Amino acid sequence: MNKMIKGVIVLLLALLVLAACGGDDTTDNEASNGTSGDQVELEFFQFKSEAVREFDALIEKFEAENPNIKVVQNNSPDADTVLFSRLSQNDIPDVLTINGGVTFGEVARAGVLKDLSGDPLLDTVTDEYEDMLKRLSRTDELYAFPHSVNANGVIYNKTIFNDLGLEIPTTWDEFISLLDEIQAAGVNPLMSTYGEAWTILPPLNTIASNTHGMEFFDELEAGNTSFTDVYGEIAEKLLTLLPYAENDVFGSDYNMGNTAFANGEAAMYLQGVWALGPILEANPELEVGVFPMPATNGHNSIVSGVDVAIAIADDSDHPEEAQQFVEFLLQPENVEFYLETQRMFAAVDGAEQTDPALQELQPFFEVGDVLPFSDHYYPQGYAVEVMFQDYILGGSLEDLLAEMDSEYERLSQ
Amino acid sequence: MMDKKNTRVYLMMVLPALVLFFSFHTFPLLQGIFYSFTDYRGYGDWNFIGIDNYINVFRDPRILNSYQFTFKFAIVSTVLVNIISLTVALGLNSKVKFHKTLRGIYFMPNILSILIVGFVFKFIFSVFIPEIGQSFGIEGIAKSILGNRDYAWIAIVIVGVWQAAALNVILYLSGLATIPEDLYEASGLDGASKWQQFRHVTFPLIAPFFTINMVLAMKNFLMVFDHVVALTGGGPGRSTQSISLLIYQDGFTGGQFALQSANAVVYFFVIVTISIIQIRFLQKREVQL
Repeated sequence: MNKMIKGVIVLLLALLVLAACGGDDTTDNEASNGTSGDQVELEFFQFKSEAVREFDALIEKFEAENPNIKVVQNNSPDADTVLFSRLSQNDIPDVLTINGGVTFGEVARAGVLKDLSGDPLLDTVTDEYEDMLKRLSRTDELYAFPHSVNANGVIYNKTIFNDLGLEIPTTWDEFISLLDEIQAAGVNPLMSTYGEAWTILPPLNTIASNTHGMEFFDELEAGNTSFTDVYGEIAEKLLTLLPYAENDVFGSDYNMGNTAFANGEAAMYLQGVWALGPILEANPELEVGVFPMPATNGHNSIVSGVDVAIAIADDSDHPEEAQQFVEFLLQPENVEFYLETQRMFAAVDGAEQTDPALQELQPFFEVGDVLPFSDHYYPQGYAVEVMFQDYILGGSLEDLLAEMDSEYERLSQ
Repeated sequence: MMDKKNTRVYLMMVLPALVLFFSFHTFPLLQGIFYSFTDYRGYGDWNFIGIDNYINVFRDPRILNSYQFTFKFAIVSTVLVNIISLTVALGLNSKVKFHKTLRGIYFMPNILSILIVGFVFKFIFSVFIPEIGQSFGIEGIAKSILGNRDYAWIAIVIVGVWQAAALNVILYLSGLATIPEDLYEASGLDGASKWQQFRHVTFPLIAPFFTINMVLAMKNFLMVFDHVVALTGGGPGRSTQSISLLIYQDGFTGGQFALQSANAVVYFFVIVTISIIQIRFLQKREVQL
């Protein structure tokens, strides 16, 4: 009997040790700084590695204004995966930023985020992006504030364009003849980095969204159309572009592409505006601009999505402080501070992007001539970039289209 | 009395480890098996769906593709690692100059993180070697091997073997140290050549170490993950997506937690079966002195 009791005590002790390991951070924090008993610690889960410094600066400013709140930024290189595994353990960060993509839709539907509909903060938020987030979560409720938005486009080397006397194309045919012209002049027309599969998405999304619009997804869900019906043309256009990239396309990754483009190794680069930061960091002297990629011979819109959306955990221990921090992040001056280095566009009124490299895109945002990213509306786990990588590497069009349809069927059940 | 006290001490020593092991190993394992019979996505609601996931594991082209890559990789790497590490161990076991320093150097890869080694090799494969190829006009290596669907797996074999050989060298060295010197003297007197000595004395006597090395290497290579993450991320296409990587990618970010749990369970049995077959087969060849 005595032995039993001792055994139980040991077991309890072991559990206590475990409990201490996973203990609440705030108690640890109080114990260690020992200054104020009611300092609150917020975890800020931030997915962009290139924005860590900016958010650190904002956090510092926020903490100076609110000495009783401590914000800890958590940035991990594979944020989506980390977020999903934390979701499976029901361990949601107090405040989190999410890219307005498939991940956001899934997380929002999981019911772990605070419903923000009707929040007075929304008065300053652009309606289009509010709608975009709702469409992603397929709910009437809004689960995150749009913070900043991005765009796909053609990043081009202005020096090369001036030297060769080139003009900005507005249709697909003009774009192809421009590529021919650059190639004939002995310059590499395109930088492509398909070794890293996701870099296929910027050109793919632009072509897809402009070709089939958003109605395609309604029709697809209703069973009136299929990928086979629509994506043949899109895939062929993407393949048409391949020979214009003379670099080691499948041996390059995103970082290598940015550096090579910054060193003037190509005239154009089909990427998103997010690549401008790393490019100009690699070569601050580069004369660079962005124009919308002309994906069709008709009207071409800019493909844009919510880059950073800010959400609050539904079960946060400190909901008021979390709300306070989010309000701070969405203040126009703070958004503008963020935009200074991040080269995105604001989703809130009163903050503007003033970077000269981005001025050619500005008119599209002013009239709202934007289309969402197609890949945000495929089902979760739909590895469209891998399928296209296989196709561009020499797969057949029939295989690609068949896989796209069968994967859609499998994943949308 | 004394015995009873000892039992209690032992119990107290074992219990914490047991609790830790159960809560961080056995429990998640059972959870994974449990969820493999559901349609759980990693979060949210779920239903029991019976063995549907197990049927789908055998029908999914992605999973079959990952098995193909993983086995190709594991078999080639296991063979290469054992050939190379046995050769190196034989060399280091002889009385070459600096053999102690060399042993240290040959062990280095083992203490480096695979991810770091992988990133260094990625630079070598995608920048350094192509540059050499371009400047000397060697067409074959002017483009990164990592971008080639047919050959990218070879790059992963190279890194895997480079890293894994270190540990196997040490194991073979300890095996070689167990062979008494007089056996070589005796066989030398009988007129055996160096090759005959290796073939009939050394190799049979280190057979237990050969077994261990084959099994360990095979098991480790079948679970390859870090190498692929650092070098190719599973690409190009799905050409280097290993089973572990597929389970991780589709299971956690792809919202297919249940299907990949089933895949993991199946895979667990595959590895166990292979290890048992290997041990059975190789132990038959071992001799006792």
